[in-house]
Amino acid sequence: MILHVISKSPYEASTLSQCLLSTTHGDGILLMQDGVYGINHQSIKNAPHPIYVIGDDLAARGLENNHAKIKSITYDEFVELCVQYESSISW
Amino acid sequence: MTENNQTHDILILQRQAPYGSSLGREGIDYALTSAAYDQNISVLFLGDGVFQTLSHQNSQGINLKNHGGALEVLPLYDIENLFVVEEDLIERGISTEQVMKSISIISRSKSNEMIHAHKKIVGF
Repeated sequence: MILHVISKSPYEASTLSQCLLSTTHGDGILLMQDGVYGINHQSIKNAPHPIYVIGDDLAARGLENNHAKIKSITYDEFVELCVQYESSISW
Repeated sequence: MTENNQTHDILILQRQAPYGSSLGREGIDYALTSAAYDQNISVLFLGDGVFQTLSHQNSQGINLKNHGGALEVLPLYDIENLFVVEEDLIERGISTEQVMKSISIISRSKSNEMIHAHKKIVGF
């Protein structure tokens, strides 16, 4: 069980697609910083994993979370999430 | 003082999303500085630069200056030629209603014409 942390825009960097090649059942994906630009990206919509997004990073960029499957969290909750998973990868 | 009041048409290309890097901010600073020297400035947002044009940015939670606020002051400095590429908005799931009213939405072919019509282009 790995938490995959995405902090770059999927439209300018290949980090999200590389990450999705490495995920397995039980993994989670967290979008933070410029990674939140991927909130409407097709590969996020299709990903069979729990998806989290930092609400403050979204609000800063004028974006909203309109997806029932994506959970908006705070930076404090992000810390708790890291502890829940066995390890984490920063892509 | 020597007379040197040449005016140039300068196109600024904004290609980076705001907040993750400071390039977007630097492009705006360049525009403001150039306008202070009476240059004709146009700003074109394309690629991930289109994320700069979203209205309702609220960056208090991440302790950074609001980039949307920086764009809103451009017309006050007579920088009114602001354009964003529609195809790049659509590709990123952004609707035209989310874009600031002061920015004109143009097609890729129109933006390509604009790029080729300029001799001085600065990319950020």
